[in-house]
This record gives sequence, C-alpha cells and structure tokens, in this order.
Amino acid sequence: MRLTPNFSSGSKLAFLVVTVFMLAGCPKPALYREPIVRYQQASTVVIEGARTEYGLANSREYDSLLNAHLAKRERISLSEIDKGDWRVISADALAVRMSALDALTKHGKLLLALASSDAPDRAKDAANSLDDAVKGLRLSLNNNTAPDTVDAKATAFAGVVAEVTKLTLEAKIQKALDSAIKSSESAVEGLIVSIKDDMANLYERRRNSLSLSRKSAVDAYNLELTQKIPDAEKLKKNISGIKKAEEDWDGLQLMLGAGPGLDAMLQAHQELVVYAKSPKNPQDFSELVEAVDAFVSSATVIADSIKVLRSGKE
Amino acid sequence: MSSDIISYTDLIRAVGDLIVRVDVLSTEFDPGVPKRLILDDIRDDLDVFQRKLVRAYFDTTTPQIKSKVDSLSNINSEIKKTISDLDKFTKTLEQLVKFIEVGQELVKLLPVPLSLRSALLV
Repeated sequence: MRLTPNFSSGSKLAFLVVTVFMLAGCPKPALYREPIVRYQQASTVVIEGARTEYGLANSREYDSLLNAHLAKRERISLSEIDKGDWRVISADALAVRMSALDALTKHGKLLLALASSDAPDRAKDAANSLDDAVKGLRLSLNNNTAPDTVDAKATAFAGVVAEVTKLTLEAKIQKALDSAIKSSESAVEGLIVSIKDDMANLYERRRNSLSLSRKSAVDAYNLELTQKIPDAEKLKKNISGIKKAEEDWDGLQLMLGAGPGLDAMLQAHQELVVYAKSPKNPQDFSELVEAVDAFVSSATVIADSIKVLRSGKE
Repeated sequence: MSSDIISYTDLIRAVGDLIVRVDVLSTEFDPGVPKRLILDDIRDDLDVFQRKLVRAYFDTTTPQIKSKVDSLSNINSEIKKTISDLDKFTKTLEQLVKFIEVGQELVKLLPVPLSLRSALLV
C-alpha cells in the first residue's frame, strides 16, 4: 500500500537535489542521508513511545484492579498480588521487550552512522553496539524460555553485524548500508510487528479500563438518585465525573500510544528495503521519501502523546 | 465465519468490544440488583480472560485453539444480536455465560506465558 503523498518542502528539496545529482551521473554515497536521518529521528520517538507504553502497562493494571477492589470493598492480599495475575506483562517478558526496542534503536543508529559518516570507525562502533544489543536480546530471551531454542530474528541481526563490519573495514560504506538494510529486513520487521501487536493489546486493556470508569461514573450518579432525598451537590459532582469519563473515552483515539507510529515505521522500513534493493532511480527515491514523511508525521503525533502520558494528564 | 482465521490480537479486541457492550448493558440496572450482580461477575470474568490472553501470545491457527476461537467468535456474533435488546436479556446472559465457559477452556490450552520469543519465531 502506498501512503498518501505528503512531501515537506525539505523533502522536496532533497528529492530535487538527489535527482539533479543522479542525472548528472554523480556517485551516491550520501543518497540515503536525508531519509535515513529522518527515519532514525522518527524511530527514536516511536521506540520511546513504545517504552513508555510498556512502562505504564502494569501500573495501569494495578490502578484498575485496586479501583475495582475499592468499589466492591474487597480484601486485598499481597499473595494475590504476588501471584502475578495482576500484571499484564511479567518482569521477564518486559525485559525481552526492552531488549528488542534496544536492538531496533541500535539498528537505526547503525544506519545513521553508515549514511551520515564517511568514517568507517563510527560505523564499526555502531555495528558493535548493535551486536551488544542483540546479545542482550538473546540473553533476555534465554532467561525467559528454553535456552536451547535459537531465536531467528536475533540471528538475523547478528548476520547484519558481521556483514556490515566486514564491508565497513573494506571502506565499502554504500554497500554496507545496502546490506545493513536488506539483511535485517525480517529481523526489523518481525520486531516491529511484534511490538505493534503488543501496543494493540495494551490499547485494549486501556479501553477496558476506561469503559469501567464510564460505568462507575454513571453508577455513582444513578445510585445517588436512588436516595430518598438525593444530595444536589453529590449529583453535581457525579455529573462532573461522568463528563470527565466521557472526555477520556472520546480521547481514547488520541491515546493510541506507539501503535500507529509502528505501522508507519514498518512502511518506511519496507521502503528502505525496496530502495536498498533498487537501482536507485528518482522514482524509487520519491517513494522512500514519501514513506519516511508519513513516518515522521506519525512520530510527531506520538511525541505529543508521550508528553501527555508523562505529565500524567492522560 | 469459522473458516476465517481470527488472529490473536483480533480475539483480544473482540473480547474488549464485548466488555464495552456489557458495561453499557450494566448501566441499565442499578448496582446491587440481581441482574446487575450477574453482569458484574461476567464483566470480571471477561476482564480476567482478556488479561490472560494479553499475557499469553499464541497461535490461533493450531486446530485445538482455532476450534475454541471460532466458537468464541460464533457466540460473540449471537451476543451482538441480542445485547442491545433488554427483552432478550435472558438469551444474552446464556450466551455470555457460554462465551466465558469456552474462554476458560481456551485458557487451559494456552502455552505458558510469555515473551516475544514465540512471536519472533513465527
């Protein structure tokens, strides 16, 4: 699926510059620079958004469950909490997710180093950094489940590191960049899809919790109405509670977390792969720019959403 | 409908839709009245079911699991037909209870939770 064209003036300029250079038959060591820099910047935001969502997931569950206990005047025991049923993501599973996000971050940094620098050392460092992240991911996977199972995606990343390091040492930066993108296709996209699914599921838990808040707000008002002489002040307060719950409910669409950003990231990465495999003509480049533009737009929305989440105003 | 593959995330979303519908229905009754108490219990069960699903990534295409997921989908379709009609409350309740029973059967089939590992290996 092609995204709706949304060229920023900067992108148009980059497109024109590249087109002119290509028509002039110039070499293309920095051809990826502009879209990759923007891809990396947007990735950083989206990955941070996912980190924030993961970080809030269990506390939201606790809030919801504690409120439910309060509403029903039910006992709370630590053994009940310790059973782990109150968490939507276990500590081990959370560690895996953080490692996966780290690997994605390091992969983006590697692309950036390759695209924006002619210094092989910088790219080599970035490759080593990705290597460390992959080791971290493998370790957390192994801590979490059977240690003898090889993780396909982590292995794919390891292949990227080896190839890129080799090409970087040979000062074949352009080839290394193509390789870093092409050979990580399934690893990056597999991780993005998995995290995207997580975000969709956490969104559902959020929706569940807000639906309960709506119900509780309406209940409070209706209960007051059942009193022999309903208290006017309490009724007013209850109405305010309903208004707040409805506002939150309507605002749910704006609280999608990193989900849509991950969709755009997936699209942009797919275009990066297509471009890396392509003969790199202007049409290929314009499609890449288009996808990256959409990704940047999506990341901008997420950046605002993260601010709201962190300020506790959600 | 049964021939369609319902994904893991689709199932979680469907349970979420059902929870929202049950909440809407619940507010037709004052807290504490018998019908409402039953709906509150059902809501709690659906909530626990959804949380367990979120914790446990699984493949909905394996035959045993697919059979349960398809049943849930069919029951859900039946619930949608009646849940907005208070005159059909009994029928709705029967289907909701059935949904939870099948959900509990599904939970018993789920793998031990969970990491991204299973997702990454797909």
